[in-house]
Amino acid sequence: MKKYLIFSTAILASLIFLVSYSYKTDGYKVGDTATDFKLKNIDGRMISMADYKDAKGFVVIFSCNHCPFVIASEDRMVALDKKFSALGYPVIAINSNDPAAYPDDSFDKMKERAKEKGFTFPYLVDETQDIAKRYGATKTPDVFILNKEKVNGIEKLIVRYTGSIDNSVKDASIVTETYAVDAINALLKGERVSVEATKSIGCSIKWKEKSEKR
Amino acid sequence: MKKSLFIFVFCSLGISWLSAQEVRLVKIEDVLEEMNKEDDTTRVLNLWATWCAPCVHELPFFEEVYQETHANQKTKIILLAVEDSEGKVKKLILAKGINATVWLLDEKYANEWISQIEEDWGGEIPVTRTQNNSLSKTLFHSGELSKEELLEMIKETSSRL
Repeated sequence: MKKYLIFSTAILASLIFLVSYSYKTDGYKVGDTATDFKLKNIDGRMISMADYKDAKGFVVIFSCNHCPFVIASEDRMVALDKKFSALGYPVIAINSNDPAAYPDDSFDKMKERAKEKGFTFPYLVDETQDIAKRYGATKTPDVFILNKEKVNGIEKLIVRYTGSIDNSVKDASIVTETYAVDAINALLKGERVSVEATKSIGCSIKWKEKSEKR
Repeated sequence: MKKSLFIFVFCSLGISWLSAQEVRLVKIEDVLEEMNKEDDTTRVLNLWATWCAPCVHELPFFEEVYQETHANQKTKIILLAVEDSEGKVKKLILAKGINATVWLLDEKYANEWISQIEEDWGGEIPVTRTQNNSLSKTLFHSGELSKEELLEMIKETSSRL
């Protein structure tokens, strides 16, 4: 009887561990390995990070067309790419929004927006929303800075920063902390990123099925 | 002449008084103080902005629930506008006929306060928190709510079970 009790307690404990573990891995944290993707760019080509042989890493930005906080950030996204693409950290923007919820976020409107704003980087569509879910993006804009690192001889994309481009998404004129720039500069110097995760207000990603209560 | 001028001034004062829907400017400390009050009121904190379409879409549901519940004083709704301007918030709540409490968060840097509202929240809006401190119950929802879902959250937070 006692043995049975211990056994069932152990099972219960491991179940609780499994449940809390799966909850914790919901979305990438700094230090996690990011998955590559194969998504359609606005020019019709399929893009993967594996295509960028010379890149040292990536600035992956979950974006869209309609969100006022994205619109306020687009010039800063272009500036980031112009500054860091040549240094090995290109920007890749991904739109994961359901265009049925926002017609402004359709593929055709993505093309228009990229042209209007002079995007120098790919603007990909995440039609299944799988990449946003895997990364744990919840809003636009949402930034993930990835670094190519060798782990046991295997090259991986390690998440080194998550959050916002800087500390004032809405109003660029009052920025006092340039998180993304600082993170990439640290990576370029082979140093540890000092501010690894930040939070900012943004537009919730429009999921195809309704979000769950948590 | 004098009389008509008087009427004009009086009327315009009256109109501006009617339209002067109160929007309190608050700091994050004010929000936390309100949410942490040790009593048996169920507080509903909705974070929204005038520039956020799903937020604006769900506002009337909060107003309806406010109209149905504020008399018993056991439910308190606070519509906390974030990253917004006082003028735009006032204009919108007037247009939408919102009588529930509306506050405007007067904080410049979101990274400094987002985790104080909810540790696991990334900053997307809308989000809604329901909290009852005497029952030690709290729920947090990310995304737009229907009126039924909002009522369900309040019910769950207010229930002793």
